[in-house]
This record gives sequence, C-alpha cells and structure tokens, in this order.
Amino acid sequence: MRLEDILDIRIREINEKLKTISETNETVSNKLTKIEEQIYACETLLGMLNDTDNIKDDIRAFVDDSCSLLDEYSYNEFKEELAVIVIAIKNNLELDSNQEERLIYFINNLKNILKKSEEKRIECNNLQIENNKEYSELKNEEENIELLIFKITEQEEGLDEDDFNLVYALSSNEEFLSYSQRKDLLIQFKKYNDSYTLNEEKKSRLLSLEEINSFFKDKKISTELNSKFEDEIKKIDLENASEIIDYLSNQYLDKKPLIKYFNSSSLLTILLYSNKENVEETYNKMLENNKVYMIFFDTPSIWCSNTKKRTYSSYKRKNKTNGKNKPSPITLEFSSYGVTYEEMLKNEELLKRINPEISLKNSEYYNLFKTSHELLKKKYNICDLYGLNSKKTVAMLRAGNLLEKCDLCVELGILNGDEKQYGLSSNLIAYSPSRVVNYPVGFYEYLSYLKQNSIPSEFYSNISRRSTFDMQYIKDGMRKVGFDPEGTDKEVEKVEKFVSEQFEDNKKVIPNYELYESIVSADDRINYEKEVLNNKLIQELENNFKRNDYQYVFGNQIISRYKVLRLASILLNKYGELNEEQIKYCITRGSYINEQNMNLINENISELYKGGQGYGILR
Amino acid sequence: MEYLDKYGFSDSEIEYLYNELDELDINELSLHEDRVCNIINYLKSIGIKNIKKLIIDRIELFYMSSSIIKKRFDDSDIPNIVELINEDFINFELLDL
Repeated sequence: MRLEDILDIRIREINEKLKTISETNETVSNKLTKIEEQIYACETLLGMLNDTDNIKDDIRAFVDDSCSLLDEYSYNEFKEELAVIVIAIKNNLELDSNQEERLIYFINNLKNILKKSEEKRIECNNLQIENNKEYSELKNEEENIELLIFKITEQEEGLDEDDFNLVYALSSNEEFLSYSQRKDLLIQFKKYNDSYTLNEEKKSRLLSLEEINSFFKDKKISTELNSKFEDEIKKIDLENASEIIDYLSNQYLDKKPLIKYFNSSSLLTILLYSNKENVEETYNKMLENNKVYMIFFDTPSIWCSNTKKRTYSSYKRKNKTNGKNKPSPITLEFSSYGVTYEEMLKNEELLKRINPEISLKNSEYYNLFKTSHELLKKKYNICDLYGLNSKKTVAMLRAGNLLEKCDLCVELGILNGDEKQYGLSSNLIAYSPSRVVNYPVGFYEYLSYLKQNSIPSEFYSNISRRSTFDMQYIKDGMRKVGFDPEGTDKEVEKVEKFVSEQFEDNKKVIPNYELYESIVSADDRINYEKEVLNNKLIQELENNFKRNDYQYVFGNQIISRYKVLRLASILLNKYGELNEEQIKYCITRGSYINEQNMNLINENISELYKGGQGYGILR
Repeated sequence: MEYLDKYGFSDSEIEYLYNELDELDINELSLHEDRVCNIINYLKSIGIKNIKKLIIDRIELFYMSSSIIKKRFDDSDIPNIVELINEDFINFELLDL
C-alpha cells in the first residue's frame, strides 16, 4: 500500500467524524433553542404570577403561548387553571384555598423546571464547546495530513521531522489502522525519503539555455525564453516536454494545431509543470463538455495536475502561518497552481446566477473566472448576505477584503441604511457597486470623517447625486483635507496620518488587540453562528442597540451588526465566553470612530459588565 | 512587473502595486508582459491618463486581449469617452468594460 493511500484512510475517517460532530451540533443547537424557549416560558409565567401589574397584553394568549412551550411538562393541561389564577390576582380577587395551594405548586414547579432547564443549557453549551474543540483538532489533523499527501504527491520536498512525528503518531493509533498498515506506514515513509534523494540527484542537472533553445527549434516552436524565468526553465524535463508538444501539435481545433492557441508563458508553464496525461485529460473533458474556449489556453493551471489542487489549498492555508516554500507569484510555477477546469465551469455557473449573460465564451470577467471557486463563492455569499446580488454587483466580486468593505459601507449608512428617512442614498453602494473596487485612496476614510461631522440629511444630500456618488463633491472635499484623489502610493501615508488624527485608535482600549486579530484573521467564516444569539451579552446588544438586521447604533455611530456577531462567534468558539475587552474588539474592529462615539461605546459596554441599571447580566 | 518602469513607474510605485494587488493579479501582470504593454500603449495613445491608478482600480482590464479593449473604444465616441474615463475610471462601465 502506498503511503498516501494509508493516509487517505485516516482522512476518510476524519471526514466521517467531522460529519458526526456537525450532526450532533445541529441536534444540540435545536435542543438548546427548545431549552431557551422553556426558560423564557418559565420566566414569563413566574413573572406573571409574581407581579401582575406589568401585564398589559392579553393574559390568556400569554399563558397559552407559555404553556405550549412547556408541553413537555404537561403545562398544556394547566392553561385554563393558570389563566384563571393570573386573572384573579390581577383583578385583586380573593383566591380560594385550592387555588392558593395550586399557586404555590405552580411557582415551585416552574422554579424547578427553570433550574433544570438552566442546568441543561449549561450542559448543552459545554457539549458544544467540547464538540467545537474536537472539530477544530480534527480539522487541523486533516490539514496536516493533506499537506503531507501534497508533499508526497509533488515529490518536491523530502519528508522532515514534523512529517515523521505525524506519521509516527498515526502509526501508534491502533484504532483505525491494522498492524500491517501501521507497519507499512513507517516503511513507506523511509522508502519515500530514499527515492526522493535519488530523484533529486537526477534532477539537479540543469540544462543550458542553448540546449533548450535548440530543443524548441527542433520542435518548431517559436517560444521566447524570457530571462525572468531562466531559473525555472533550466529545470525543464525535455522528454516530458516533448511528449506534451507532440500531443498538442497533433490535436486540431478549427484546423489549427492546439499548440498554436497557447501564449508563450502559458505553454512554458505547462511544459514545465504538467505532463501529457494531464493535458490530454483536460482537453478530453473540454471536448466531452463541448466547451473549448479561448480563456482555457490562457489559464495554464487547468492543464496541470488536478490532484495537487486539492492539497495545494491546504498547503497555502498552512503556509499562511509558517510561510515556507510557497511559490512566488512572479513565477511560472505559481500559475501552474490555481483554478481547475471544473472550477472555471462552476464559476461560470455561479456568475450566471447574477447575470445570465456572463459566459466563459466572452472575453470579460477573465479575472473572475480565474479566481478559485472557493473564493468566488465566498464573495458571492458575502454579496448575498448583504443583499447585493444584482446584475450590477458582479463588479463587487473583484474586491479584496469584500466582507470588511461591506461592514464599512453599513457603518457609513450607504448599505442597508435607514431607507424610510434617506431613500436610495441609504443603500447607495448597491446602486454604484463599482465603488467597492474603484475609488480614490482615502475615499472611505474621508466619507467616515464627513459622516461624523455632518447631520445625516446633509451627509446624504452632499455625497449622492441621482442615486450615485457625487464624486466631484467628494473629491473636492478630499482635496480640502489634504488628499490627492488621483494619487496612489504617496497617499497611503497621508491617509494613515489623517485617520490617526480624526479617529480613535481602538488598540488603546483593547490591550490584546493583536491576539484577537490573529484569531479572527485565521477564520474564514462570513456569517455568524445562530448560537451566538444565546449569549447574554449579545442579547443585551440586541435589546438595546439593534436598529435593524444590519445595524447596531451607539449615539450617531452605526456599527455593523453582522460584523459584531461574526467576530463574537469566532471569539466565543475560542474562549467559550466574551469578556468586556473582547466585545469592544468585536464592535470597534475596522471601524472609523471618533473620540466622542468611542467613549460612548466604552461607557455602554462597561455598564453591561458593571451591572448598572437595566443590565447587570454578568454579575 | 519591473517592466512598468518604462511607463514612468518609480520603484516605490511598483512596490505599491505588489502590496495592493493580490497574488493572482501579480502573476497575471508578471507573466503577460506583452499583453499588458499592448493595453497600456493603446490606452495611452487615445489619451487615458493615470495608468498607475488604473492598474489598481481596474486590474481586470489587463486580463483581456488588447484587441477587445480597442474594439470597445472603436465602437464609441472616443474623445468623449476618454474624457469621462479620465474624470472617473468607473466610466469604463459605459463601454461594458
């Protein structure tokens, strides 16, 4: 059995376990929702029995609803009896001895149910934390094994001590591998390293440019050998390259040999980093699908190995933290990774959902088609989440840091803002989505400054003109504060200085800012987990500061609600609870907030923790 | 992307591009020098200014063939559209670009 096959057994097992954990988490989450409802019902009924003065709504409806939620404890049978008692108390009518007795019984019984439910809630929360912990450990192991499989498949590196430790740990695990498989694992590890060393010796012979030029001349290929890629080109395996060239020269598309459709750098990439089998497989797929478009000849990665794509994504993730051996983007090797043929088809399908006219056949959107499907889908989902999927918003999919930009637009009141008062302007970015990618340096910083220094009606009427941005007004304003709207690199420093002068630095109130930043940056999620709404502190934010699904409001400072809930979900997963500093981080991260509003946010949040009037949730 | 110096990009401006663009874009600009130069030459020839900012703002243009871009301009009122684009790159949208 090959080393990678044995490792695949573990990957499959991990996937099974991950699936089970996800299912359990969903069950627990449903259970938790039910428990929350029961707690709410107990608290409501107890509140009514203790203090009838505050009951303003229909008593029967209230009792009915609450009793229905406590059906598990047979409270559906007590609806009438309870309603009669509550109505009697509210109207100062004397209860008979039986009713007195029943009242005491209900109060004690509800208190018991409440206590039990709270215990169950803690159990469920703990179970979720444990499950999440196990989930992330398994994910981490999966990623490490995928990285190892990548190294083995690519044969570009020898296996090192870390790899050995991983293989050794797996070989000691009797749970999922037989004795012979465990033995094989160690033997194959050694064999791999021996064969790798041998291959490296063979490969170490570099060809001269003359030899390579002469090879291309023989093959009648007029490929310019750009000196930029000399180091890579000299490693070419002429036998492999020859097989690819022969294949591509003998396949015809519209009476022209396939090889003629490739540009120089794409062809070189394929000759260096693919083989005839992969090229043939990709072309056959195109013919089968009846989709042979020009963009494919400009995308070398689709002609290179597919197996390495899957593992490369984890390789890249891994290298985000340790940064080793990642190909530089200015190499041919980099372009051999990247999007696959299948991904490009999926990208087309996805983009058609926004605009049915988009097609791989046409020449626009090349950069979107060449984006990894995972990333494009993430961006699509972000647009969807913020209600931005219309034909025009395709432009937004090009944006880097799209999630952060959407949050910022919400905070500027130009995305899902107060439509009743400010009409189209409150959703200006949706009508002019290109501004998410196409704006002067300092644009968002200046708008934040303008918003905080104007009354809302003034702000909206100044920045918008016929449901688009009034760029003339905005650029003039930017010039007045010292920016050059046409500038590039030199503007960055000016904008940074402006931000430090006009807005508060949240790192001052969040000593562990960098720590939270590293946790949040390593997390890929775009939305919050619904469990976060069970957190008492978040419930307080919801009750006191939520304006709509997208906004919390502190004074005149809008804060993106999705941002807060998303970040809180990440930190809750990590820590199990949110402290004052963490919630302040969730609120202020990436926001432009002036001193007055920052003080207000700090006061409000500190109040929640001190147990001041109306709060007191973490006493 | 060092070849951009022939269009007046300083070292710090090229460095800025490396920082601002994502890896896929850097790879595209690095590997397809001929195409990128053809596009820049054409845009400059019709009077498009501030190419430096254009690369950051409208990187997707540099993934296309220069002939497609040229065709879109040829089908329009070039002096007028160039003026609008120089005012604001968002106006490439008027050419469906």
